[in-house]
Amino acid sequence: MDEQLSITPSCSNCQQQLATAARFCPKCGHQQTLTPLNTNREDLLNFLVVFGALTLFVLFFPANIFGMELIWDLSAFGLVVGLSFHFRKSLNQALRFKNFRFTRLLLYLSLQAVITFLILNILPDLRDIGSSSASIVSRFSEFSYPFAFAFLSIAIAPPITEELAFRGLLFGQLQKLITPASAVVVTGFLFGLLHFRILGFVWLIPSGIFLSWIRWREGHIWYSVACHFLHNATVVYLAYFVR
Amino acid sequence: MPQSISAARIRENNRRKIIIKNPSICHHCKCKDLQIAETFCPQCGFPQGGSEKEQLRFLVHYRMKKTDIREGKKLVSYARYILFLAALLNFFSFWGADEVIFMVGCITTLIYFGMAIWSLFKPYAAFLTALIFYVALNLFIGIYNPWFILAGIWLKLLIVGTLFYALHSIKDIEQLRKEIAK
Repeated sequence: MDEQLSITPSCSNCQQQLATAARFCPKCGHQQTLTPLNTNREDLLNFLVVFGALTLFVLFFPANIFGMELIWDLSAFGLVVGLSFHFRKSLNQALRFKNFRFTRLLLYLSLQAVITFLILNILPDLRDIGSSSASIVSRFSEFSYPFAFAFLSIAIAPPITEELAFRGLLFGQLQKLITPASAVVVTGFLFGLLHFRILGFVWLIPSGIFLSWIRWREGHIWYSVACHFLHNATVVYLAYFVR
Repeated sequence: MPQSISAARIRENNRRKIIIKNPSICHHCKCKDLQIAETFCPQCGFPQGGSEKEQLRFLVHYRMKKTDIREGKKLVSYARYILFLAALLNFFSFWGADEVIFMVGCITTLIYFGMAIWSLFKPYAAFLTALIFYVALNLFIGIYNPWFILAGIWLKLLIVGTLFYALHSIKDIEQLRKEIAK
């Protein structure tokens, strides 16, 4: 039978052995396991830096000029990859894809399909403000292969970039500051905010919360990337082949 | 008269004296089963086996931290009132505008109200989100109308400053609570 090693905690100041539940050392009075306040301020600063960089990019980099769509997508991707490299330690877990389960992916995609159906059919007026099917078609009409470019620019690039930014970077930073449940709500809200369509908040924020919930539940971003792709691809498909 | 003054002073001095009746029970947090060899209580850090001066110093620092916590909570309350104020100001600034703009105003007003209510349960998350939303919204409108940023600039700075300071206070309160082991 293996002997179990019992590790007795010791004071970080005077190395006196402590009882397991002791908060203070009985010999020197030093308080044990106290997170320094500077770490919390550093985490807040990191979060504000990431969010600030994303906000300034969205506000000041023009996306609605013809020909800028793919450049915008590439620049956004470059910015997010750059930030991810800087904060790679906190992003490690979000990018690991362990224990893939097809049934779980199917479940999330089904839920996303229901959400997409509700958005496209029950809230068409609010959804269309800013990005109607007509505007998607007209935006890419000058390209040689309009559907391919639209698909790349709307269905492929944003799911990867946005999920990496929100559910990867921002969610990871927020988890250090607030509880995971609050981080899900806040990330969803910020997802809605950074689209800068106030009327679109009605569907953007719940969608964001749903994707953040998946990230929290699974520990990585890849299922939410798939759900986001499904929604955006459906919008592009409908714009070109149905409406 | 001098007799009553000295009696009051004697009562005050007696009140301040730390009399440890049972050395195995902490005078401060009433934790039981303290060992004679333990100078400090392992639960609250009170110098049970230390000098009277050390014990008084501990109690004074404890009361100071409690006062700081009370002051911090007041600031958090002020930040909550500021959010309610921001909601009202936001609503009235969109009053009388056309339908779509008014709807936008109602949504942003509801968001501010929602954040203020949420701050009763999760103050840090609520104030952080409210701060980000307020700054981002003003920047966004400022791109289309730069004079908007200057309109009511002092009130805007007050709102941003109060929310930012409240965030720091909340973390300070958490830290102080851990230090006094409450």
